[in-house]
Amino acid sequence: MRLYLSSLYFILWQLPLFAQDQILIEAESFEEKGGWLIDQQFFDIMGSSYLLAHGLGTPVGDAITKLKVAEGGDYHVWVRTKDWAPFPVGPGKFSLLIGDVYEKSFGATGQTGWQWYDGGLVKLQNQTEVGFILKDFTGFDGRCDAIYLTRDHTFKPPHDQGVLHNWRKELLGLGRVPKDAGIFDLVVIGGGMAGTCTALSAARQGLKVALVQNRPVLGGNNSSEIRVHLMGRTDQNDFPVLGRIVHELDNGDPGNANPDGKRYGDERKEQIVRLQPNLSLYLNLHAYAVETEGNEIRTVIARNIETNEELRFPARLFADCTGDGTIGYLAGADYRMGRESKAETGETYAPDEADDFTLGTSNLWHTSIQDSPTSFPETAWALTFSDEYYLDTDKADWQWETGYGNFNTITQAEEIRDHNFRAIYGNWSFLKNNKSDKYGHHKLDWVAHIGGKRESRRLMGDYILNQNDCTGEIERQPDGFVTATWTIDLHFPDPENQKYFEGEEFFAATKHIRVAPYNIPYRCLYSRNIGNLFMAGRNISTTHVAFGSTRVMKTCGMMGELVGFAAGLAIQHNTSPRGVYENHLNELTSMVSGVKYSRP
Amino acid sequence: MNLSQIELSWIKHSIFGLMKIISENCSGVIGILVLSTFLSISFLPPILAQPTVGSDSSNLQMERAKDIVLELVYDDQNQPQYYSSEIFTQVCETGECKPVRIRLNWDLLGNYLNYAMPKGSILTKMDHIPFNATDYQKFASILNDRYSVLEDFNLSQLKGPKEKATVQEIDGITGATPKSIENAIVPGAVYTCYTIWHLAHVSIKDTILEKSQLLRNEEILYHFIDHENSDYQRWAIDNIFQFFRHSQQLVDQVLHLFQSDKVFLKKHILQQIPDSLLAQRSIQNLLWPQYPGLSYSLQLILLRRYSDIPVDQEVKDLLESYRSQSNQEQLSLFQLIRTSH
Repeated sequence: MRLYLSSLYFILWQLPLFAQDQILIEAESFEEKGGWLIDQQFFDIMGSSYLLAHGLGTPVGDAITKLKVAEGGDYHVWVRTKDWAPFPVGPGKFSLLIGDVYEKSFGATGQTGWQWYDGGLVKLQNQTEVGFILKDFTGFDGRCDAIYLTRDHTFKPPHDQGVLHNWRKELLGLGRVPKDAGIFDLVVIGGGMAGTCTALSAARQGLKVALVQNRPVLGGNNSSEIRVHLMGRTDQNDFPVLGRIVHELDNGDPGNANPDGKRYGDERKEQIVRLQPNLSLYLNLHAYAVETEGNEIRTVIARNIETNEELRFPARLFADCTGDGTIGYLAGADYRMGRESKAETGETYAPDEADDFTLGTSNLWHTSIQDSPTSFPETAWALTFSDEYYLDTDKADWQWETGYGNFNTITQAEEIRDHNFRAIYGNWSFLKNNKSDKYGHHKLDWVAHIGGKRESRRLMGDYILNQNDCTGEIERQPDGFVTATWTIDLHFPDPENQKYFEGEEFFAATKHIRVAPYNIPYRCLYSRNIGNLFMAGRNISTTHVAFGSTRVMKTCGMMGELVGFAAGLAIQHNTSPRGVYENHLNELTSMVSGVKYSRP
Repeated sequence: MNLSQIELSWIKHSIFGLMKIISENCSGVIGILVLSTFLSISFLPPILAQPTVGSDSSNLQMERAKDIVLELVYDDQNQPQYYSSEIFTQVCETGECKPVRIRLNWDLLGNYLNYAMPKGSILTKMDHIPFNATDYQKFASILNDRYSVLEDFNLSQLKGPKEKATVQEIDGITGATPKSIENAIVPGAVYTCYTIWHLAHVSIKDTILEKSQLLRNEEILYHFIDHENSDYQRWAIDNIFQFFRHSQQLVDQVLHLFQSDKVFLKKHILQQIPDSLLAQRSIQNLLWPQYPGLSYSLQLILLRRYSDIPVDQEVKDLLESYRSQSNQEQLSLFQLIRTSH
């Protein structure tokens, strides 16, 4: 916070243009968060992280910050927030208190979308330290992005995303080129299993590597924040060298939504990364911009999800392990989203017509049994359940999923998460208030506020894996190295759920189409049109159908291990990811075979 | 599947099994009605499908479905209860597999319920080895999986290249079981599982639905509207709104459901009720006073349904009283309704 205060003073004192008559406070930068959580998941859509009052129905502790007002006067207060469940009015009500002279509530207006809300006037005194408090009323996910005070009573803060972005940067003093984090051989963006394995593997090839992760923990879907277990096998590998780092990171199998978050091994993963020479870990940094030259990425720019400080990462090579293919997308990489048609791919499991259907996002949850009965409020703003249909369960598993083309998993990611919340809270409220014989002593302990996203963009490489690769209809490729074993596992709305919630399904079914163990070609792991971009994880070059098999996390981790080897070769031979395939495939084969390469 | 080719026998099979209705369904309607007392289903010889050797798999399926004899079983209240069929069929193209005799049961909307083995019948695997208890257990779970991967396969895909075949994988004939369906079959009985699953879930459903349409009469609709099976209730609601909307009693019966706490059924009613009924003053007077007690999603459906249907002044006045608890979206719909003529 010392850093934060200094930046505030910077705003106040170093930018006299604004300092005297306007103040922008990013909620995520509050000195004390109380029980509020930082949520950066939707940065790419709304342009900021924000604070979330995720108390599962119990109001969370106050978030508090202080700042010194340079110049007193009547300030107009604006609060950027969102009624996340305007059905007709959401539960996310909170108050903003300024000193002891101002209190006004926000968050429950019945209006949709993020907006600046007019908070009226507050009188502030010269050179006084003023406390700002966010007081939550319900524990049901009220949210606050920013607070803005201005003495210009005719000015309304911008709503347009582009204008808002620049305006915000200017007020935060981020208008200049950020400082460089260092110079790297490889910058890996995304600290899930794929990214972490990529970074470790590359660092072990002697590369200078940065791993940039936008959460406080590593592991992504396998972290304690999301709690999905690692699937895919590593004991069927044709190249057993791959999978070793996955094994290192694997903390055992706690299943999905285990009550004990520690079992997912956040600490183990971080320790392994911290102990790795050549590897610099940057947590809480969200990469949101790239600088390119020709068809290559030169730098990635990332913003701290709490302090909003920015860092710039120059490198020769980049690996997009973001899941959403964010870096590739920003750089102009070819990508696909949704399903290809049968005619295009020749896959029997592809639909007749291409469409926008994707797998969805899960917010897992679990409960515990208490000694005495507990209560949970009625939730009129949530999904409605009745004896005709409800989910009779005390914990979630993978089936709790929203998406399926009803929502875009990138542009409507927040709506998806919130729809999951409405399903979870609505069902739980029904169980607690109507099935008390069974659930009277249960307490909702944990609901992931970070969504476990399955599918969005797939960056196109020199090879696009499809169903026929997975089922052995196509001959194995010479660069097929990453052995995949998971079924083609393409979720769809559970028909019973669809019957009652058509168009807003939140529960999935699947068919497990078995595959012969097959090998994902290396050419799926680099962009076909961005010369220095690798990818690993769910955003590699596959069709939608093949993605149904490649997407599990042990397999994604092994992709990362392979990328690490390839990056080592690319740096050693001063070539591109494609150059490794074209000119050094034998060497790469030797590396993953665990044999010493002899130049022919 | 060409429904017009389907030859059906209907047996009204009360607990005493007294009535038999045979229809030759050449044009999709009951052709011949024969009442025959004391003729039980056992008198009907099961028909063995004889597929043409070398015919493609879709033809084979069609042939099988063509020869299905469906029986409609009634309960002791003389209400239709479920459909049943004893099926005797080849399960593979070449005729080398042992034919299967099995009884399958479906609900009145064509959803598979369960199976039974007729006395003396068994299921076999490769080399005619009988199923053991575990096999039967797995077979039951395979049939219960409405969303089996078997749905996406045709028979020709069940065979892999001959050179890949192994003894463990075959089902009486040469051919490897594709990896992708290994979990969806009893080992060594791929054709049996495939054929019976398709008969249970695919080949017959439309036929049953079509036949159930022929059952449609006021008595059945009254019976279904209060049925514990919500699918039957929805079926009744849809049919009343489509074919019996002029029956005041049946419509009242549906609207009576609107007073219940069945939110999903209420949603279905609001989505399906025809405009002509919504325009009736009596129905407006019944629906709108309940507006405040409806969930938000039902409120929106009601508002949207009425956004282009003229409403009485009384309703408009009522809406005014609801304004204070409404959000932007609702208010904009109020405005549409208020200005409708």
